[in-house]
Amino acid sequence: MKKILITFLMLSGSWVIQAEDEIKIKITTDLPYLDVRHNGQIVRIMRTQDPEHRLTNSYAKTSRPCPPFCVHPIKLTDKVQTVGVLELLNFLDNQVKKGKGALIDARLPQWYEKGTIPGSVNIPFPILTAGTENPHTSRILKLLGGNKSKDGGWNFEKARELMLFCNGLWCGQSTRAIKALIKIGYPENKLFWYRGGMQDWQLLGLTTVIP
Amino acid sequence: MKYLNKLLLFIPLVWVLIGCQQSETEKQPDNQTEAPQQPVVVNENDESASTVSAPSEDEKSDQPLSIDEFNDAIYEVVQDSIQDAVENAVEDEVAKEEQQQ
Repeated sequence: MKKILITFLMLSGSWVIQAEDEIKIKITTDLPYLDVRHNGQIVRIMRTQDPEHRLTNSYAKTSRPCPPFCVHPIKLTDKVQTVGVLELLNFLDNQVKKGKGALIDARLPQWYEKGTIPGSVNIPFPILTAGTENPHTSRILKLLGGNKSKDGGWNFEKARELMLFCNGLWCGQSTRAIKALIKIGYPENKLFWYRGGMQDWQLLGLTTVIP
Repeated sequence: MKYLNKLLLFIPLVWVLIGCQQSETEKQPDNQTEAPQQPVVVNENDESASTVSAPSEDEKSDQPLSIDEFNDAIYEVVQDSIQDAVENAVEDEVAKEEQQQ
């Protein structure tokens, strides 16, 4: 009787483990996927499971005229941290999930509509570079946790941590957004830059969503 | 065999119950920070019962938005700004045409 029970439990357990094992191309050894909220739904971020997969879209392109598509340095400023994919996933799983951070796709809407990182929100860089007198910029800053003081300045003590990205390390949209935020007074230690952007993300075959 | 039959009936039942429990958990909102809209009576039978007022607008604005509320609010601003940009562009074009005429 015991043997039957043990066999049954082992089979049940192996069924659960098998579901995880079906993911052959994991993100890291310990991280096969990450579930995040996007547009009110749960989206699973994982890598394409086809080992023959190749990029054929615009991110397969290697050379664009510089200027304007020049390669950016690894560090934007001394205090803004440049991050990679794993730091971004950790940010989604912690700061964004707890409402303490926002992953910002700083590209223009026409780029965003082609596909973005699940869990991100689109704030096109011109809204941030428009200046605090612009009503839309002001609304965005308030949503990010900024408080406008009586003298017209902004206090970002309680503001969210922000991680920004755009198309890739040749793209200037996120850098312009970050520089605009710093100019407004957003604390640099609350800003993170995913320099690799969509090209880096797609090179790893990671999930994208079309909004 | 008598026990085996009972076991085979019992185990699927446990699986179903676990499944139901998990799906109920998944239905819970991520961030239950929504404030009650109406005053909440603490104890109806107690004469000294106090009434807890619903939070003011200022208090509400201090409460963190859920992920979906935050994303929706950002989306709304972005759409408004796009709309404004389109309207401004149209106005500019109309002004240019009027000048040319």
